[in-house]
Amino acid sequence: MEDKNFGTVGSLWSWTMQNLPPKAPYFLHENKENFKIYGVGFIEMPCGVKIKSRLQINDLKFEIGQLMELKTSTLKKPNGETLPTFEFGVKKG
Amino acid sequence: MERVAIIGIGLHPFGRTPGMSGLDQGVFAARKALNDADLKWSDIGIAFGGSRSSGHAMAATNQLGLTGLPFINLYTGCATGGSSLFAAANAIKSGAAKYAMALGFDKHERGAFSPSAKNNGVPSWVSETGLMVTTQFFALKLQRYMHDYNISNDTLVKVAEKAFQNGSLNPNAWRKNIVPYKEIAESKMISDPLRKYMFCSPAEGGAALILTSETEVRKMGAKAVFLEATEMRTKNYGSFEVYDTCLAVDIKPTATSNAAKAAFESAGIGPDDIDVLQIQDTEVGAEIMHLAENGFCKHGDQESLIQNGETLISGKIPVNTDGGCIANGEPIGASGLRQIYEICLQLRGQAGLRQVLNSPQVGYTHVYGSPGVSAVNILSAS
Repeated sequence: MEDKNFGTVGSLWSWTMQNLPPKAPYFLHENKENFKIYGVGFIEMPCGVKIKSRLQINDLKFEIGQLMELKTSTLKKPNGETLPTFEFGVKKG
Repeated sequence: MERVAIIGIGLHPFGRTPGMSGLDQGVFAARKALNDADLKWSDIGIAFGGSRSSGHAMAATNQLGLTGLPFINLYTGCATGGSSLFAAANAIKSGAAKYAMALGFDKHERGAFSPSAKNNGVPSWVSETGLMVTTQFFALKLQRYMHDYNISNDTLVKVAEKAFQNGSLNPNAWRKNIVPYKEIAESKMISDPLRKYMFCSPAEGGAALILTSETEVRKMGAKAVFLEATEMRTKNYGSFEVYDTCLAVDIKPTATSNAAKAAFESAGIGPDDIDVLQIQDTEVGAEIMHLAENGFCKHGDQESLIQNGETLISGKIPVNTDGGCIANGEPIGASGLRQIYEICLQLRGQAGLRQVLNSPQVGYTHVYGSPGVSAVNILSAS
């Protein structure tokens, strides 16, 4: 095994939306009323590998082939602890 | 090589049966299969069975009889039924027993399955961050497929419409009511592009099959359906399978494609020779994509096939004539055996209102399970 730098920008290979809260062990299952819809996609990096990731949702509509940029984010567990993770969002400009 | 024969089939209706455990539904199916084969439980020399939510299949012996037979519990996700048959068929081929049973049953809670990351060799953060949901896999695979091969949303709706139509002709189905096009097309969006009525749901039910050798069938003078091929494959590097957290640079054929190819090679026939088929339809996109992965059309040709009604009971390649997983629901342990049960009925000419006309002679079944396993059967009427 060796580390490889995939870069931070790729193109959207496929996408969907998670419209319903996933069951446990998803962090937010205990408080369904706080559930926020999120996107899920595969991002094709310049080397060709496709990475599964949460997608940030904003007003932009997802389209296969659009440029996506890596961001870091934090998810909150029901017990208040946080988990740093990654998401991709539509690259602006 | 001598063929394996299916001489007994049994089913407990799928759906919801309050007051009856999954195990009880399995025992019900096993007794039906024994009755169909005109055999006693004590005749069965080996059994293979599985369930996800209803305990050890072997516990059925408490009710069927403690004959001491070898009984192997197995589990391969949604492909469990296909794997039970694969194992039972190979036991007959090896001469391990004169009669073998493949048994499956289940009784699931309502709502989507909650797969365990640990049990599927996936790091726990994947499920904790909401990336290990089976509906996402179906949707992501389908979204890309629709883009690459021009499959329309209208075709997705038509696959669901057919499932409910066929289910309405099947007294053992869970969903026996036709769902109109508009209702499917406007049902709640679950995971784009898949809507509520495009999915199958976890359910309850039981199914059992009894197998023996061709020689034994001739001796008994029994009616039988013959297995021309039974193949099973797990995922290989580069294929796009459920719970994958990344995909390879070059995407390779799936476990399904590999199992199908092996089955056609071993049967010495091709997809054009199949008269009636069962294709894993966990959701409508699975049926569409699996049609091509199994070799029944080129990628993209599903659009015209389905639009022209060729997958209906009256079409050229009738698919999921009993309503498939969408109308029957999915009790995991039993689902793959339900497919074979239906093909046996069709080849025996006993499918009632949903019987494919002109006496179908060759049938096909395909099941797919997590984390990337597929079992395929080719069956013939004589």
